[in-house]
Amino acid sequence: MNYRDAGLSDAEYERIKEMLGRTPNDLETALIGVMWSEHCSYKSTRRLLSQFPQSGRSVVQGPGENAGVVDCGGGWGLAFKVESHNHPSAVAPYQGAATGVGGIIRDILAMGARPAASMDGLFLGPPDSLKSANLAEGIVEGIAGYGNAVGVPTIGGKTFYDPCFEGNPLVNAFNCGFVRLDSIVSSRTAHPGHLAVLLGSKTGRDGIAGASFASKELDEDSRESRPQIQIGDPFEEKLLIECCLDLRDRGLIESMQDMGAAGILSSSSEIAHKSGVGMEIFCDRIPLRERMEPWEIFLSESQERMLLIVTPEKLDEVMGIAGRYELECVAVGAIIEGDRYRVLEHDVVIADLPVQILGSAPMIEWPAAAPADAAARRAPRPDMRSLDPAGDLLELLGSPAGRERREIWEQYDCQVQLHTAEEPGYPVSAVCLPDTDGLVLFAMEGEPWKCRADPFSGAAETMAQSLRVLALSGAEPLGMTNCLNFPSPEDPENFHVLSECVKGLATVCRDMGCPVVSGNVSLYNETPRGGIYPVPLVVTAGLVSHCAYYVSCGRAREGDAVCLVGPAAGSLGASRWQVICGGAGSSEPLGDVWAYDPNMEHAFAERAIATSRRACVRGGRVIAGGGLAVALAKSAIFCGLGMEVDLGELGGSGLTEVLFSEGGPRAVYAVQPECLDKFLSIWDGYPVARIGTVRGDTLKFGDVFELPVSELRYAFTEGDRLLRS
Amino acid sequence: MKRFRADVTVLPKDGVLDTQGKAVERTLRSHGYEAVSGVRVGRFVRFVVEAPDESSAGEIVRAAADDLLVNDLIESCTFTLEQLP
Amino acid sequence: MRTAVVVFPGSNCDRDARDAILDMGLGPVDMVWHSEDGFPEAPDLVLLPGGFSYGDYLRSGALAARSNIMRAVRAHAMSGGLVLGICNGFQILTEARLLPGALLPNSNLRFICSPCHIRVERNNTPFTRSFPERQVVQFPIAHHEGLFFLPPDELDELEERHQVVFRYADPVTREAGAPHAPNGALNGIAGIISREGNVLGLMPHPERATLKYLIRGTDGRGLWQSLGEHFGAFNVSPGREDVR
Repeated sequence: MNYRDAGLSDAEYERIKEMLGRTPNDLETALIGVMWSEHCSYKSTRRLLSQFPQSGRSVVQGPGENAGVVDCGGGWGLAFKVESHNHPSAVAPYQGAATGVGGIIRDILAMGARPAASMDGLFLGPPDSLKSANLAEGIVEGIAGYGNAVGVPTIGGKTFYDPCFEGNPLVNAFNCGFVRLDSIVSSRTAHPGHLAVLLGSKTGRDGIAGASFASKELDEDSRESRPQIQIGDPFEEKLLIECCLDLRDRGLIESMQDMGAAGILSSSSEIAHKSGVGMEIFCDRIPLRERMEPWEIFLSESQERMLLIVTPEKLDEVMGIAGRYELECVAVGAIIEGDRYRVLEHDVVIADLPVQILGSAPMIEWPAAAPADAAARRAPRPDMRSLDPAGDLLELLGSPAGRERREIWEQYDCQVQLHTAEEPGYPVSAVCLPDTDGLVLFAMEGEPWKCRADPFSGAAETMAQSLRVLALSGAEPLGMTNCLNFPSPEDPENFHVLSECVKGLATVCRDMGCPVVSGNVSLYNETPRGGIYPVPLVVTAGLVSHCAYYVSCGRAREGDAVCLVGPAAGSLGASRWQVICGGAGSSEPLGDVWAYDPNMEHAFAERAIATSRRACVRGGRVIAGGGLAVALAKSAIFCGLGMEVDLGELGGSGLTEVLFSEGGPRAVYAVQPECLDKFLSIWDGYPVARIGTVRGDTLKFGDVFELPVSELRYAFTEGDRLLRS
Repeated sequence: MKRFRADVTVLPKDGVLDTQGKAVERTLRSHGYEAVSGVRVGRFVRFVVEAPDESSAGEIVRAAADDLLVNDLIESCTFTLEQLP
Repeated sequence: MRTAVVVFPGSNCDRDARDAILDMGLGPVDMVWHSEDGFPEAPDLVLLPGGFSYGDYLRSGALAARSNIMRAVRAHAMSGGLVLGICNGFQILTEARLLPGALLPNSNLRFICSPCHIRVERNNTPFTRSFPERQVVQFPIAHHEGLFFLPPDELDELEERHQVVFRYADPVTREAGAPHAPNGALNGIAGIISREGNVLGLMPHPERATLKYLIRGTDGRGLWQSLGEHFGAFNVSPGREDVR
């Protein structure tokens, strides 16, 4: 095989020959090629990712395993991770999204955790484009079809629309699971003499897409190389979950890996690498769906397979349990002394590599250069003024990204497993902790527009926003997982943007004491019309020690005080209002993004947590997309009550800024009248103002405008197009 | 013993709500296929039967259909048999 | 009250049903794998849980209805024992012909997970005796095949025999019937009982409206309460929990 067909550069191939002291054979070239691919090796981003703080009080397992684990109390660990399945979903939306869900569930399972909840970040083209609408429908049905059947609730997520995602939708699948801290499965525990056992589906050609590997030299039949999409079988996965957890409970497995990218090769070589042992795989023992070449077997991404490491004396029992779950189970390899990774076919060695080489792709440092128009993009814009605030508010509430996404999340089973503590469609998702009264909250955030206008500030704002949402809800951060969705790193401007975004996330994580425990990078997200906007998506997990401390949004009663905490205005640059309502005369994201201020974030978080602990508010909502106006409108819609707000109290800022600006640690609360003094004293030393009262059935902004809550709700639930027609 | 390939076609019975058929028909017609009507969406099952002759193979297929492949409250089926070499 | 929860490959509400029953103090609960020939101990109630038995392949419930344990379930039902099928369990009961009818794909051809209001049409069954007559309660739904279907004359017969126990309803007007069915179910039927009054199947999930501090309420407790009262279970201490 030509090394270029295996995706290796000239320099990489030279290096391989040097490391081996010989020329690799075709199979070896293919194996190294895939392990050195961007997808498996993170060679373009490893150095950037090292900026992330990876340790902290709650961290039990940081990056490097299938998922991170944090201690959430009561002897329980929370394993969690988010991963992209962008390209498969662009080609085959149903199967791409479905196998994305299946893959991330197996990552959590591989830690020994029972998968407990899923979330999904979807970044889609405009819904009025037929192509985007079809992709979106397939993606949503795929997530539902897989997640519902496998019995893991989909408890929330994020949906965003922009023309840059047309043809290249982003599907970021998140899963989390609970595991007893003393039952966490590690990939460092394999010893010579152990067996490598394949559990689950037969291996087929799934995921070996033609392009780089459609090599006639390797396929003597010269049969047409089928570009194969991976097909998911949630029924098999459900059996796999129950079987693996049963095996773990019975103490029958030493280690376990899921098979995702580069299937058997990557799962087995990672165990060998991390455990410091050698590995022999007998490729003729691997159950196949069809006749396949050894390189195809090793690279296949057939779904619903796990690699178990078991001791020989427990093999029969393992096979017995697998049989009970009607799963195929075959010993396909052995852990050996030394450092060789060997592939055998009918007892003949057909590949023989040092384990080390598979995991040591050289890093690539791409050149970086700030985009030529970077300064112009983020320059403050003077020309931002709303001519019709009431109309703009309705437009924001009804816009694709602003309105209620019930037609999506109603297709997801959000309740199976009986621990979902918050409805989908809320700013946080919540799951009850096992055995205690605590809650784990998740906030998923992604801000393509702000990151486009200002990569550092946009990413910082993304991360800070996730922490604000948790703090307001009463949660202390446990850790973060992220998915970095970017176009090609080979373009210096793109690599600069990627670097700035990582720096933005890392800065906030370090300042705010939120460790990064897992993550994934998806590069080369491009279509003929250009690259996607940068999307560093984060999911931050937080702990509420008792569910009584949880502050929900949209709870209020007649007579409650409406209070604003934080500055009267954030920034209109790259805001929902600027892009959707065409501020600055453009629907491109433009202008200055809120500049991150760690002192202010700390001050906000401390007071928000104190507010939750001292139970002095009915409900609250962080100011996010659409600004104060949308935050108040959504509060009114969720609680079904009107509000009278006096904007005169907000000082000198312009009306448009006050209503629609975004960013910064700001929130609105509904405070019981008898608790107002206590509330104000908690927020002493931070900007706080009573701006109105919960009353009636209209949202009234002084004498600027008023809208009936019913009309706001109609825009929010039915969308702007219905409203206008 | 001979080997037969059985092709079983399962369709919703007349009078049973066929929501998929309706949706497919609506979409086809909206795409300009106005000549299309009476769309029914069912299932197709193919398997191999070993039997001494075609009529006993047919009995096996019919029994399998009654037993599992078809819910006769809502579905009906037809099948063909083709002897394999 | 001893309950046997049957676990089929692909069941996913089996543990939820167990947890709801145990939360009500109505144990013990035996988890029984589908390949078993019978129950470890004679149950008072056999529960077929929700989920995607056999991946919903072929037809929802069709493969599970033919699994080994169903002979014991049938024998239990024939001897007058109580059987409760929830969601996929209801689909399995119709496929096993322990209840009439069939569950077809929802009229919008989509999976629907939503809070859902149903009216208790009969409170003279062991499953509903603690509900006030014609009370409207909220049991969530989560299914893709929930459109209850019967040919017209058999449907009339079902209604005449008062076999409809739950009907989709409007929470404000308390009216029930087809217009309130989220899935297109004929006559708005959400749950039915056998002629003998011992086998109940329903699409909504009472176990999802049982535990406190979760979304979607606790109206489901009334169903477990009814069963507990029927078996006089509330004067004995909660039993042990048996897991398969």
